[in-house]
Amino acid sequence: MRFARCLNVWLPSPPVELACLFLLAFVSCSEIVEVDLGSMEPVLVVDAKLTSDTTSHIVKLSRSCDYYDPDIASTVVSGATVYIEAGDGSHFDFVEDSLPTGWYRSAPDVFGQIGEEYYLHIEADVDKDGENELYESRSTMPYIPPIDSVRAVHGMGLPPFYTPDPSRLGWNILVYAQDPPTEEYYGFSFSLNGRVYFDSITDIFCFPDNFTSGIYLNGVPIYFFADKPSETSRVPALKAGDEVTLIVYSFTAEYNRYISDVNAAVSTDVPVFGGPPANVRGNISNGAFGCFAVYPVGRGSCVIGNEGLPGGYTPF
Amino acid sequence: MPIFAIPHWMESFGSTDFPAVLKVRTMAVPVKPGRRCLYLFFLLFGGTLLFPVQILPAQALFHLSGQVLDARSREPVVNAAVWLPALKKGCTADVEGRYSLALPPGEHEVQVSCLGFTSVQVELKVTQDMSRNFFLQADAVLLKDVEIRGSKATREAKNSIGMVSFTPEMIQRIPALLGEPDIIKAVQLLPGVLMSTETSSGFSVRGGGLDQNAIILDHATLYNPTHTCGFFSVFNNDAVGGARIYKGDIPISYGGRLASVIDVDMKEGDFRNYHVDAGIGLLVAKATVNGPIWKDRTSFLASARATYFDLFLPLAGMDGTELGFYDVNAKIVHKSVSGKDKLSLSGYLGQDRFGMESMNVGMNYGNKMLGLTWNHLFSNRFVMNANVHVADYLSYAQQNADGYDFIWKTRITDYVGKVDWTFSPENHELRFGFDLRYHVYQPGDLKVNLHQDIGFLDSNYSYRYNQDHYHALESGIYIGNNQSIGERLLVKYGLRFSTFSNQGPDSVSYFNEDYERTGREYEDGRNFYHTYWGLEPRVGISYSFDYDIDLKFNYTRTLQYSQLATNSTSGNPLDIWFPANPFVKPQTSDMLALGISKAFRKGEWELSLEAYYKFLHNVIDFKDHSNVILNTDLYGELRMGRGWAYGIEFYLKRNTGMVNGSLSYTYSRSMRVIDQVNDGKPYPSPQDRPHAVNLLLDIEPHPRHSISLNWMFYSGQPTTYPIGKAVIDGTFVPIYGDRNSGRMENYHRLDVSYTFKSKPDNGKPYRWSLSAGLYNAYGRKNPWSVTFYQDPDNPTRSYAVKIYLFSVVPFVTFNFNF
Repeated sequence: MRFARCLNVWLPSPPVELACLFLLAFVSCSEIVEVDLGSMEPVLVVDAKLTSDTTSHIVKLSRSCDYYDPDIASTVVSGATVYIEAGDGSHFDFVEDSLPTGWYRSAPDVFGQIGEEYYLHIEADVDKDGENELYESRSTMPYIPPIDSVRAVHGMGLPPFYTPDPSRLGWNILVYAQDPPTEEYYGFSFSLNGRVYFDSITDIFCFPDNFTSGIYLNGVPIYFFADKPSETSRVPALKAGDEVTLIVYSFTAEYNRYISDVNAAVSTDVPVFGGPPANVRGNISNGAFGCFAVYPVGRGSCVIGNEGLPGGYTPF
Repeated sequence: MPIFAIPHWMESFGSTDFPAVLKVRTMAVPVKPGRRCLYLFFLLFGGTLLFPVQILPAQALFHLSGQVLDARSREPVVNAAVWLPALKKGCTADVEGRYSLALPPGEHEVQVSCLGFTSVQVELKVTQDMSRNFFLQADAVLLKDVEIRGSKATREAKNSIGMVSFTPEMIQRIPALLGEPDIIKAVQLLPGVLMSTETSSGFSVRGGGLDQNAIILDHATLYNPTHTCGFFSVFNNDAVGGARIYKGDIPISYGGRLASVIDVDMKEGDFRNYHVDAGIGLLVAKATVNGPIWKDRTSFLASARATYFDLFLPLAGMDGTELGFYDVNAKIVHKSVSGKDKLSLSGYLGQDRFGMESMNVGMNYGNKMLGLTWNHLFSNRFVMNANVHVADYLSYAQQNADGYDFIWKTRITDYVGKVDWTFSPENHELRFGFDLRYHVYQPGDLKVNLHQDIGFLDSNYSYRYNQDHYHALESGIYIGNNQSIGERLLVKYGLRFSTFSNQGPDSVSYFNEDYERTGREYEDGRNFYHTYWGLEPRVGISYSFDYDIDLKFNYTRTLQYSQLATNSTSGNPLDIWFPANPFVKPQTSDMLALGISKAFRKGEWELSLEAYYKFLHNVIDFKDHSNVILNTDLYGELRMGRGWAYGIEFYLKRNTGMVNGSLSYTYSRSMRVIDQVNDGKPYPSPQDRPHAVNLLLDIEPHPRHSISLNWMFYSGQPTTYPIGKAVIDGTFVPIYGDRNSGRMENYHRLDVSYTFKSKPDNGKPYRWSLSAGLYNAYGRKNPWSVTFYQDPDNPTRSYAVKIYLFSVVPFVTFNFNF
């Protein structure tokens, strides 16, 4: 919820929210209704990422459609010209996949560099009038501090995962790193034995550093893996020998805001707390929806030890 | 605010039933302009000692004055009508039950009446100035005298434009949610008043915002008039003596809010006998005790109310949950032997609590008020009311966990002093006074204590985070007159001068036209670094035609210097009040209203039609994606603009008969244009509900049985719906249309209640009544919110879910008093 997010992640959601929600739950009911919604002229939807990893980067292009329209496959935008130019003059062309269409890939040896400004150029025919429109964006890759180490500690959840239930034990994944005094907007996901979890826009754990700027992160809990995950939990249980890799991103303020806006738009606020709904703010010109995200990626791993032991410690 | 001796015709331009008989000008000597100022100065500040001008009494007219009192309790009967049918002349008693009339010598028939009381009719021979008290029997058998009822009803119709008064008995009769009668719920039934959301005690008057209503208890402004997130209001009906609502034609003695005033008087204790009232409903229990401390001199009233929801929560499988409220009203009144002085001390304390043991979290909020009022009569025509009070609203949330604890609070405190004089020579009612309000705003203070190392912070770390506190002094000084000209014309004119000064220490942000910060200045010391002032003229004219037709017109300007930072439609207890400052200009409203009313069948029926147009300046809204909680830069989230609202209100009322009640229809619009919101295009305000219908029926086939029905219909609440979607990582991200361009389903609801009473004259010292009823009797599922979901089972589809709060809610209440 927006309200909870605006407090730092370290602060629990204020209880008024819980209390009023509880009160509502006590008396309220809900049902599915038909609501007539208007329609809009389609706009270009851009999902473009360039990271510091050396890989084939992807730009996804589609059109917006009516809210109830179930046929989202037909919204892809094909035949666009897409490239990225770096401040140093290097030029990366993005070529459309044969299937699925609408995905444009760079060559596999492309990577972004910290401090470099990148320019995204898209020419696409979104309004289907036979002529391409121009969409542009610029973004500079922010700095990312190195992770000194990642550690797994078994026990009760540390704040903000703390609950008073003493039987709820699990692994806290702690990070050790120096947060520089500049403003950073971190994001986290993780991979477990090579499989990446929680890297979609609604799952990334955003961690703006307004409370930690300039401080040494001396074991900050980022994830908690309960030994007995609840049925609704999408966090898997860990076993001894599992390798957990914490993936850290350093986003631009724009992209951090975009993630926050998207999450606000898709979460279901109750009117007591949410303001009027507002459209997601991106950074693409010409009225397009979406964001050109340029960010570096850092990683740190640890291996899970036996329960009750201090846990694995792997220097990065 | 009227403390006493303010006939209501003065406050609302309403009562042309004071056809003036006077032919003598009171201020016969023309005063030169310069001297006039001096004269005003003396009036305002000389008050008691320096009253410099001898008022020449009208020749051949004598004054009849006194009080209208409840025969049983000797409490004043507020708003009682004193009427001389032969002269077509009368007045309304003030909150002290006082009235004053000028009469030619001779024998007069005087009728005294008030809703809920048996009328009295007496012959009086007037040969000199005389004082006479009238005693009315409360709530007995229905009046049989059609003549009296007729004239009473006419007077009410004439008074009701712009102002409506309520007695606790009237409020009691409206079917209420969970059986708890509530002034604010009664106000929400008036034409031009719109409830904000289901159950909410927030309301909008003639297109105004939820924070534009002054809600006043014994002179003190209550900043959050709700309990339990709006399900109940702070007013305990058993402790209410009377209430007045002004829907726009706000008297000059009130300031600081744009749209309306609800002024509630706490009941005074009986000066002769002891009384106990008790009631028990499904969720709330309450008791009120009042009586003399010193017979005929000092009385007290104490009233307490508390919920016992908590007891039922374990039954609903909700152990370890705390939920509920209590409130306490207390008042002590002392009168001097001469009856010329009266001191009253009143206090209010309310507290709401929520808590969940499992999470160790809790939230509390409540209003506190303590006030002292002194009423003094210099003569029957010249009275003074002085009041000092402190009012405080505090809301806090806290959690105590093993690893940490935190407490977050927001608070606003007012320290107020005010004096009001009313001088009523023949054909005039001159009112003047001043008020001073010192506000302390604490928008948000957070304190976190850690007991455990969390990685970047040591244990035993304490973190304090305070939004700036603001201090401000608001003052108002006013003078106005209600004047009868001839028998048919009544004019009202008054001027209020208000100021608002910000006091340091403070930091003030400055922004350019694009709302980009251009600088921040620190104001050290406790000096007043910025002052706004404004003139608020309020004028009106009313003319009585034949056939009981009245026509009236008024213009009202109001200024508001404090506003609520809420970006939700219904408000919540953590909403923050913040002041105008060099960046935020005071909100201003200019309203023009025109009304026509007619009484039929000697006042049995009343019909009125009113139209208004309101211009709103310096309207504030929040930008998209704004954050008001714990934001050190709250002012940076604001956007300014203007608004306008207009409407037509139709009101039909039957006052008497076995079936009586009212029907109202309102067509109104309320629009805003705010910089950077909705791309600068006009959009409907959240309170824009074009069509509103209210039907209230009271059927009393027998003195012991009565049935009340209340049906309401509103156009759906404006809201912003998605008109498209973007698909990002397989997730549907809605793209919204223009702000408030969508509308939820229409709102309608029927409430029914049935009351069975003890015999009115059962010869016993006690009375009782039993009420049962249904809220939302036909189970309409009115939308409270509509949200959109992506179907988790079929992610290519999405659907809308409506949340509604209530289907049918039954209630039972038992009330008892002796």
